[in-house]
Amino acid sequence: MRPFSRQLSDADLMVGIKAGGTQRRLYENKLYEKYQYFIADGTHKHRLSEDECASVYSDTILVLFDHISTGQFEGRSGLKTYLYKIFNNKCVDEIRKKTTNRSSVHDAFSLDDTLMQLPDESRSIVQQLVGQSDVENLHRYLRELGEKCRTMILSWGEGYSDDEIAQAMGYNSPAVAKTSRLRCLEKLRERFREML
Amino acid sequence: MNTDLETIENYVNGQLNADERARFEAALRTDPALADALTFYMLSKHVAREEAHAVRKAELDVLRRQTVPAPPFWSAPMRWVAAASLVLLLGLGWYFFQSANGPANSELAVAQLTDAYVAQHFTNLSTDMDGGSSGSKALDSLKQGINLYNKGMLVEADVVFQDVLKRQPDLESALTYAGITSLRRGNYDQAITLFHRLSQRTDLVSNPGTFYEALALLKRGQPADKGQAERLLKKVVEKRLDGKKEATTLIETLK
Repeated sequence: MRPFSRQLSDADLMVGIKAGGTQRRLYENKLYEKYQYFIADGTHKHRLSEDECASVYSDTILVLFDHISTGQFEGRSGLKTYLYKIFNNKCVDEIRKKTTNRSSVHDAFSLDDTLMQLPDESRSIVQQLVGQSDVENLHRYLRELGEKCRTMILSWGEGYSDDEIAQAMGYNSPAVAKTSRLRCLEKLRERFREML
Repeated sequence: MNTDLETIENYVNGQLNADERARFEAALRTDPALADALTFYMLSKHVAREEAHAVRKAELDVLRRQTVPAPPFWSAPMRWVAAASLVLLLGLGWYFFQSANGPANSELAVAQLTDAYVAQHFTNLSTDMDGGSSGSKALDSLKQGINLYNKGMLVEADVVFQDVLKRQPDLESALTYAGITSLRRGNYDQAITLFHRLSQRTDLVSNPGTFYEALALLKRGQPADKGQAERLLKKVVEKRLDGKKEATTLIETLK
């Protein structure tokens, strides 16, 4: 690295992440590195171990990536302020979790967040059925899928579009990538049904 | 009601028209199979998101262990350091200006160079290929694979090349084309394995295996890949292997 090479601005990083595609990860990594010093700050301020703080920082930054790429972070506050606020809350939550043995109330991504996409009535129907579902096994079946299928489904879970998946995995078009992704999801459903 | 996942996805993403949406929601109240399908879709999306983030978190942890965090420039102690350094910075102003106008980020520049190389050299495969002494069956298969590749049918081309490799695991051209196809398909793990196998062939007059393996590592971009790619690129330059000129540029950019 050049001694005076310019650090990318928050605006540059956000544009790079929002643009998506194959370079999204590079911009995400740069953003992670830029505020990595939060970990040391957290260990001093909250008296958490470095590994605990690093885990909290990773959870924080993953939430931020998601908020940037989905447009949930609108830039009304500075990126650093926004990041620090989430990080601080998560550190406090980590301390609470350690002292009271309670599970996290600030999970990186809750199922409720995912279900918020649905209208109220549909959501309440799904919420009743979710309680009866074997989520742990679904995790296991997903890990057991073939590498290509797993990669596609994880990319979808991470918010990559079919266009981006097509580019990254060499499909001819987003439509072909979508068909393949849904086929993989169907395989997962069959496996899930077999075990019911 | 149709419980296929495309219909479910169109509902979740708001891509059904008003009538279709109303019918879907009416059926959801009475049709347990549709409710199950929607629940499966939403759960899968959530589980995929959690799994993806677990993988990403592990990647970030490796990144953290490999980098020394830069301190916040404007934290209190650094204000004094900044003030004390002002004269020095002014003295080095010209150098700073020059450097600031260079690539803002070496990794991004490397990614762009790698993408440009892949686009320039791997968009189409030459049909004027050499099947070596492999025999006509392998040669025909390779030509078929190249035709599929050049039509953009990468999945099908991959099947053909892999089939040739099953029969002749060390065939140079099959290793090359299968590796390139894997690279284009984003199957970097496989591309790295194939190019590495190619690089181990010491009986070839010309062998781009080491250079291609470095490209695949740079494309995969896992935290340890950059260092490994740099070592391979230096080997390409030192041993004057295929890709020496491009390797020199990439090494300069990686610095």
